Amino acid sequence: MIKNIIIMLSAFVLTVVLPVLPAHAQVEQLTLRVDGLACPFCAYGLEKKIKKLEGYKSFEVLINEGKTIMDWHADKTLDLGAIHDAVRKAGFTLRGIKGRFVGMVTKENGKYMLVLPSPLKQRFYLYEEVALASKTHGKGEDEKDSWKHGHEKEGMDEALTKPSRELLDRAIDDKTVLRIVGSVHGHKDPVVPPSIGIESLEIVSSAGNEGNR
Amino acid sequence: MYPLPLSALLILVGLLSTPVLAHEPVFSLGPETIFEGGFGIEVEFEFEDAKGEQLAVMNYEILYGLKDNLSLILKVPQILGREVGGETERGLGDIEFRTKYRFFKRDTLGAQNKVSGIFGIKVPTGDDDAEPALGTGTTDFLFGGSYGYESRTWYHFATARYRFRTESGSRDPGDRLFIDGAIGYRPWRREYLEWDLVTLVEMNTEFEFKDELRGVRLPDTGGNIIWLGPTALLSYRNIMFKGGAQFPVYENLNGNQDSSSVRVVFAAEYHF
Repeated sequence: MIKNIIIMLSAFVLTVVLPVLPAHAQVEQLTLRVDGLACPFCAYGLEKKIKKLEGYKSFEVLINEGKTIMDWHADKTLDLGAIHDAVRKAGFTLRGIKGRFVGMVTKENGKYMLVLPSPLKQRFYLYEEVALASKTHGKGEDEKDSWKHGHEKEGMDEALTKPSRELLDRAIDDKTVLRIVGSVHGHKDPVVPPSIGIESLEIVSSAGNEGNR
Repeated sequence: MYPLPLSALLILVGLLSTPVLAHEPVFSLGPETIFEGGFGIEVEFEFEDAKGEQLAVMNYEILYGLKDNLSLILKVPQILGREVGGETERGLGDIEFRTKYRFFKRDTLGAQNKVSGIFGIKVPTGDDDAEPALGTGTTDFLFGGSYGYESRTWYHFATARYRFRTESGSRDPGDRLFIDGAIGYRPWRREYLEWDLVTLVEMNTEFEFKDELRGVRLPDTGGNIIWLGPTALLSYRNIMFKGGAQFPVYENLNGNQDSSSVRVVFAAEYHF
């Protein structure tokens, strides 16, 4: 009897609980490209500031590569401004953020967005550098605002290549959970959600399971 | 009353040029500031032997990062022993408060260029009536600037400081100018949470103007000294040990003054 209950519980976990887990991973990992990291002793300030970030789970500083890798708590949204401030207050310059995100895709006003599951519901515009090509998406002019980009609404309609749009359309229809790796940046207009420049995309769970891109 | 030997005065004021903060030179100041909201404490032992006079001081320093580019530093010197002509004194020296404002910084991958302005004030908390004196009896102001380059392998610094010394009674001690340079090398490019060693060669040039007594310049005061010597910085995470020795490679003192022979510093610094 007990053996049967264990088997049933195991089956429940494997079939119901585990497929749901990735949807809760949301912002999984962030890699910060930090300039000015010259010595381990100075990097302690970065440790202090990163540990105060709401969402910080663990971190690793790679001084020789000028990178800081952070694992992120599943139930926390991503505040790019807070990360930028943390690096600045530590005495360094944040040059870029690359992230690994998990969520579902939606389409709003013709634009594709990655939406983190409830209760966070944080949204990210999706784009590809190759699709944007020469479209205006200017970076902030001064160093302080380099992580904030302009957001040209007119030029963002085709921010993704056709194959990607088709794949994301199917993902929307199938309610597919995707894992996306790419650079993330904020915008000068704080109302505009941050954007993720897709570098790789992986299907985490869906009825059709169409594999990686 | 000013029977204070001039060489002793020179040495005591010289101690006020000592350092704090991260990878800055051991015998000078660099452009480094501590991170915003960060605290640091440093305990620093100094010893100087200048022909017949020996001086040992323990400096206690507290620093705070008001902003990432603005640090405040309080230095309290405890003179362990000052021996002049067979007389020895010990006690509190002159307390110094210093600020450092980094007004330029350029970060690149694994390197920083930065320039800071320095302002400090030393108050006469040391007993200048003691024999020998524990303080100069003057309120001094320090102005300066420091440029520094730090990379994963090489370091270099250039610092200029001017110490303006007020009058004390009928005596007006000569101002002092410090021109410092240092070159550092990291033999192993260690990662965070590993021991990290930086070795440096530091050169410090000191120019001291003559003292005046009731408007008359004293001939046996002032002069120039160039110090040179190796130093090292050894750190792990938020703890740093540093130390070194310097020797006078050039000395041109006015009149009849004892010359210096060596100065040594050992320090431990902790950030939190």
